[in-house]
Amino acid sequence: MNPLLLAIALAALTPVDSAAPGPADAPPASPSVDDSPAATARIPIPEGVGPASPGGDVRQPDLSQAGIDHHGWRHALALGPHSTTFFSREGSQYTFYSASLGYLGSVGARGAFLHAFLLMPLQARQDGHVYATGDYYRTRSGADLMAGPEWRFSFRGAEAEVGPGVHATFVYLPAKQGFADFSAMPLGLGATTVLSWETRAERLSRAVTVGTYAGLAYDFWDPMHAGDLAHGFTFRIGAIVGLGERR
Amino acid sequence: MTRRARRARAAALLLALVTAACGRYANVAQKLDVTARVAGDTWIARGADPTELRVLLIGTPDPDGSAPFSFSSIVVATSAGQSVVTLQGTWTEAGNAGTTVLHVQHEYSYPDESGESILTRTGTTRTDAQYTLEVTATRTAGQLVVAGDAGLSGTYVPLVRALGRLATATPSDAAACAFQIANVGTLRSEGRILGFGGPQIQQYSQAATYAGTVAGSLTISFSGGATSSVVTTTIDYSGFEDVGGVQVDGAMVTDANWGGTGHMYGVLSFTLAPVAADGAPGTPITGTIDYGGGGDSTKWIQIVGGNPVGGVYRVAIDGGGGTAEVPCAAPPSPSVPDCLALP
Repeated sequence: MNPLLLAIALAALTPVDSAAPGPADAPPASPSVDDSPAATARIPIPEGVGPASPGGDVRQPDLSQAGIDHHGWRHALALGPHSTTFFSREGSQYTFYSASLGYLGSVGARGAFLHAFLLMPLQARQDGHVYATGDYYRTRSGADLMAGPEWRFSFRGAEAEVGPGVHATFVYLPAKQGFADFSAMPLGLGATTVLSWETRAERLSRAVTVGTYAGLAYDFWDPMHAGDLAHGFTFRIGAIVGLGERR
Repeated sequence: MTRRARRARAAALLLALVTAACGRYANVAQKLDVTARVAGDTWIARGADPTELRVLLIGTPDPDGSAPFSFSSIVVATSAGQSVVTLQGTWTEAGNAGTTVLHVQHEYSYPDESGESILTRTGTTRTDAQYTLEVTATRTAGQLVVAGDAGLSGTYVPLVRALGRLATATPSDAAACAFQIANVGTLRSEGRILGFGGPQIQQYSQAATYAGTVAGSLTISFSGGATSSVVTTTIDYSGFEDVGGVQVDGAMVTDANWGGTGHMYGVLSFTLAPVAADGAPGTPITGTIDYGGGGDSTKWIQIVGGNPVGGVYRVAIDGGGGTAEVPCAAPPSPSVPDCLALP
């Protein structure tokens, strides 16, 4: 089984909210959250966590292990492959494989997410024929957007974020001399998930996270092509590096 | 117009483009021009419908008996033309019984979409799915009789010989006929320019060249952005010969807004080169077609919603051979079959 799916499934079994923190969380937060350094220093240190003082038994808090705020903002850069395939009412199947660079943002344990990607279509297929897009198109560009509500779950130091959303892919390929331009904008509904782990690193006063993401969408309308889209699917997966607000 | 109004109009245009901009999907990695030259004979026949005209070009056979061909069915219910279907491929006659196999390599469609909004039109498309047709082609004195396929059947005559019969009852008829004949080539060209007649014409912001089936070429270009109040489409013909014996040169220009409302201008010169039955070349007929009403804005070709709805083609045959004003939105008079006395 895909480890990502396994992790998501396990995480889904252990929903976490402010009243019942998961294992990845630091000990229960005070009902009134105080973000001041002093408050951070008051966080009890779990057994075995943090370096021991060389001269004695006083342990210093390790901020990198203090945990990120389960309700806070997440910002991440994403990199990975992107695939969209769709069928026209004329009976053709089009498939585009792209490299994607994206932004994944979300807020709240029960909040909202926005995933936005820039695409560089590398290979196109139509009805069994395969084309290297660089041979035919002078600019290879595209975008992928998904936005919707999200839920966060924690499990053994990992945090999973899942949610349904509205989806749009845009492929724009202005052609080289002598060839026809291509464009498509399939829209639909989908779902996405992000699985991340906190690292010991810290940037911009936030915990650095690493992880992976995956998304799947069913597309059924292309406003640019006057109803020529029968239906299609978009799938994306990749790795992320992000920042999470500390608790 | 105020800045706010201009912004509102630009936003509306962008919205229209985004929500209904491009008709059907293009093919991936589709070449714009795949025309193979046909060096041979051009045949012309009446279609099944009085408004339909059929044109068949057959090249010189190779040692295997296979020749390039190009066939068009052109519906000319009005002088501006309505629709064009074109096939390109190879024509192979087998044996003496006239059995002929057409291996179709490209099929073009320039449909009549006059009832649709300009932004939802498909315009000219091409499919490259290959298939074969089988017909019987019988050659008799000066005629080619094609049977066996309803879409191609007819009694064809060589166009260059028919040009020698150009209706000359009156100088006005001669000029009107000259326009109708020259228009066969320009309609065929529009029926091969991918995206012509629809929003995909924006493709030609990078100009493209299409070869004439017999000789010459055309270059099509498009200028004007999404926020422009007027966009311009120019088809520049250079020694363009898409049917044998009929050549056009010059620029045909259309200025219109994004709703497809505007007008045409430009002057095409034409040369009709008849050939006698014994093969002797006749006297060429030359002249001009003015799409801009000769500078009279009340007569230029008016386009509304992408359709030519008014104005005239001003035609003049050189050397005092006659002039005519041909209404674009009226049925051709005389029609091409009448001009050429087609059987």
